[in-house]
Amino acid sequence: MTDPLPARRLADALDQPDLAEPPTADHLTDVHVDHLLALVEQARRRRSRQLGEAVEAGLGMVPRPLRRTIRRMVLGR
Amino acid sequence: MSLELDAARRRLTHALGCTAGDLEPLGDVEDPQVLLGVERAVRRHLAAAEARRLTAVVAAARRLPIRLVATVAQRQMGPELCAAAIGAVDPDHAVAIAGHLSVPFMVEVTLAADPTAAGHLAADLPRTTTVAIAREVIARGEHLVAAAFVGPIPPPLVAEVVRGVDDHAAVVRIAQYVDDPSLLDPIVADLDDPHLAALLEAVGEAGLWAEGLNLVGHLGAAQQARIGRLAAGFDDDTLAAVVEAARADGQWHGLLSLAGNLNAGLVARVAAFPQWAEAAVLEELIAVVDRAPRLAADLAGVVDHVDEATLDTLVRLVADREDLRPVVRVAAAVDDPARLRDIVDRLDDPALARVMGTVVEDDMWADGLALLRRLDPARRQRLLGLAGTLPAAAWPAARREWTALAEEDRAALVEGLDDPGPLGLL
Repeated sequence: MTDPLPARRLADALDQPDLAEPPTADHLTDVHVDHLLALVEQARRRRSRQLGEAVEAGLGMVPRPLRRTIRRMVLGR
Repeated sequence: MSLELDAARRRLTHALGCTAGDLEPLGDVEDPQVLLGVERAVRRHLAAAEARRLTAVVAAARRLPIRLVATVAQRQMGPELCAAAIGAVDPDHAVAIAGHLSVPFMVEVTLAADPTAAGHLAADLPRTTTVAIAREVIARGEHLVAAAFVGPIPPPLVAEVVRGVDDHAAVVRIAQYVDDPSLLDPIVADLDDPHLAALLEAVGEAGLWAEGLNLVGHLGAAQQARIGRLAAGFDDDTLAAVVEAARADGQWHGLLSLAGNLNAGLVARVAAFPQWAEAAVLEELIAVVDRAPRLAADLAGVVDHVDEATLDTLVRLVADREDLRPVVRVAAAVDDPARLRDIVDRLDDPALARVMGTVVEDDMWADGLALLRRLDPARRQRLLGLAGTLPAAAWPAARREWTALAEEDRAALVEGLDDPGPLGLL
């Protein structure tokens, strides 16, 4: 059995406690977890960017006051 | 690489939106369950983050007429944004909006969405819409997404989708990605024989026997029996491809399940292939029976027909093997008494004593008595003599099985014996 701590680190980072349990806990090393977290971060950024672009594209049809609200709440600006 | 591991890697790649090469540093993680666990966690994590962000959009959409929301969604927001919003919209509202969206647009949304969330939403749509979306997803070769529909969508509706798909090989490929393979049985049950035959034909033409056997291994007895009947027309080239696929991909569970449902003539033809004589194959088969004891009878059916060289290899493995429980199960299920005699005669006393020791010490008397019943008095006497040397503490379990037997079965077991040995004490 390998060190269970890397799996716990992944579980905490993704907020998914199941990952800290076997079989994940028995197989993942720090190298695996570092790589997975980097891929998750890439995926999150890419999807976030796509989402922002889609929101901007869609706001054109929404009434202006609502448009500002949505932009502020969704895009934070 | 096993089919399960390959499917798990593809699913994780899909969830992360990365390439297969990006997962190379995880190449030494070879347990599919670990990768599937990570894949589900990644999907939940990304979906949760996006759902929180879209809560405001969804709240705003609640104040607008459904038709306008649908128009904005389709014309301006696009499939990615709609896909991300699925997790934040309550199902009734989502279904109401979907009622004003075109099927091609909903297909795009489905492909951009978390497959599980899309599957749940599709399940709530009108039947014809769900079927149209699913068929288009399959037609585009999006097997992972199509597989996510199985589960949220009830089996009869999945079967309806399958009936309308001309690419039968795609259906078998999709089955490899289904989260809960126990759901495949009711779907197959809902397909008629001509359709199932067409699926089998496509499997052969596409060289997908490993995938086909994997699917068979997940089915219940009734559907395995149907496939066994449909396989009656397989020629030798097809059977050779099936057996080789099982060997190359370790799909012995599926092959044994299939073999157990073939007619005796076909089992004999399957058993004639040289792969069975390989020690590694026989070891794997015994390991499969160890994991799934119900397959003992299916392996025994093949053992009934294998050649002498294979029998010799099998007996050598028995002599060398530590855990003989799966061996006892198979031996007890061998149907042909002459074949059982062949096996017993090939084993020396120490090996047979270990077989009987397993029966006694592991409380396998149901199998032990079944085995003894098929032997002639001389060989029965030999086995009982070897069992008689075992500790008396284990015999109460034997008494339970013994008294459960019908009177005539008990009489048959002691008939012709000079000394019933331990049986006389029961």
